[in-house]
Amino acid sequence: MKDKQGQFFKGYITIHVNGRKPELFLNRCMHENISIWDIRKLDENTFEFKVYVGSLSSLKQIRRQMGYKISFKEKYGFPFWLAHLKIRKPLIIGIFLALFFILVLSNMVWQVKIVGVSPEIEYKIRERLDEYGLKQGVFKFSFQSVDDIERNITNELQDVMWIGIEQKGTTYIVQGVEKSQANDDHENRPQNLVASKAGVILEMLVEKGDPQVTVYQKVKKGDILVSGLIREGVGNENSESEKAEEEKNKIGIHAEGEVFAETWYTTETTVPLSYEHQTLTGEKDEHYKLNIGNFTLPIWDFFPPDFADTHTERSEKPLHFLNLKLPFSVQKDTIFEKETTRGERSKEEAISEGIAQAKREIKRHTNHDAEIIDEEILHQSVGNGKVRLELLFTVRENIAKPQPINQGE
Amino acid sequence: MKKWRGQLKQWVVNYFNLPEDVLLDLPRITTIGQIHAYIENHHGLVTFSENEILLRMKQGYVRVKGENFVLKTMLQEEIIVEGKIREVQYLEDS
Repeated sequence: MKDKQGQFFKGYITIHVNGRKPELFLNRCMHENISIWDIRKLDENTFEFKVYVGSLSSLKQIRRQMGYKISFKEKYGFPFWLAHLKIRKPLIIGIFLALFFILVLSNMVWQVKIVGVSPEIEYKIRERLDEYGLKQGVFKFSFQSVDDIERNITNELQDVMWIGIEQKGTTYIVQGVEKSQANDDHENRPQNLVASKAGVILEMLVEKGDPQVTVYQKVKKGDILVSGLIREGVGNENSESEKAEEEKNKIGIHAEGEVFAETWYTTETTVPLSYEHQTLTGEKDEHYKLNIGNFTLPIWDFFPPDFADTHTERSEKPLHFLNLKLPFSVQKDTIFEKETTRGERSKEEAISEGIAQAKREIKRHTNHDAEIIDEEILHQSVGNGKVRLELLFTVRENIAKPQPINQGE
Repeated sequence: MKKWRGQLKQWVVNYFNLPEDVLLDLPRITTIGQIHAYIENHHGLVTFSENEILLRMKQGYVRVKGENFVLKTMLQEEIIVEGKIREVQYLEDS
């Protein structure tokens, strides 16, 4: 019985054999180990039976030796089906074209939806996304990784607190969260302005509130600079004895203003005397490859660029067929030209480099309205091929920091 | 001599409790109701028609009669007949 398995794939033919005593023909087939089945007697000299396509040649040999007439009636199975399809080439081409189009279209971006933000921000996000290559009608593997785009846009757009990109089939859903502006309610809360750093006050621009300090006064961190508690009916001088009662009459207002003070920063930096920089020259080459398991097939740009030194960014994205993930993926290698500069610098150069470094560091840590008014080298030493610097910077910056007044409500 | 060998085989079959069909090359005919007949250890097909199938055995013939016979499988030593089986007959070599 097991001979009958895989009938469809092997393919079989119904055959009529005609001659005197066709049993002899069957006996012969049996001896040759040709598997035949569904044998029927049609008339005295004709039998019908089925046989695999593969045994046809040995069947013909027997026929030649014994002189029976054989005629083929019906063909069934995969090999015939295949042969039949060969005749219908346009159909096959059509099927493959259709599959190919589905494959291509499944790997395109059909829609980029931006949700959760106002139209203005939506426009900004869309502009950025376009710049990073995430837009309608591009291939999924043509842009960089979604994580990078998310991070970059979040960093670039000040009004956006966070964005998340989610891929759903051929649609990308970009979810944004706007930075909400400070509450109006908050604006009028009573508050003091306190010192955020220790320093010497240089200039006071008080819009509202009662200044507690004067110019050239030294303040500590947390000292009240401008008080939000003022007396009702300013100008009326009261005697000492009533002062305690006055405290109660004071009302809280929203103190506002800027207090510029001289603050100090000491920083330590070390600058090596010999340096090595790696910079990208901006020249780049993009390579696309198709990954099938461990095998990599280059699709576009087969020749490596003639860069002396390179930095490669690799991103890999799986191919999809409709919603199915295929075991293939497209790999995009972006090869950048890298330049390495080495050099030595003198002690003086190292010191100025160190100061510049420290300045950049301070700029990062202070508000944008801060300015460095003086710098001083406290200590410097050279050792192990490095210059070690201890620097003191005098910075002019706004030290006023709002602090709500708790009125014990 | 041939007779002596036959007797020996018979003795072996009896003594070791072996299946006779294997050792003695006898036909083994299994029928499933009236529908199927499995005939093993045959020595060739003599005649086949809708109502009758005649098979050569080592000694003599086996004739199966019935209606609408179709040979489901035909292998070296096994034939499967499908149809409506009426009778199975053993014919002596004559």
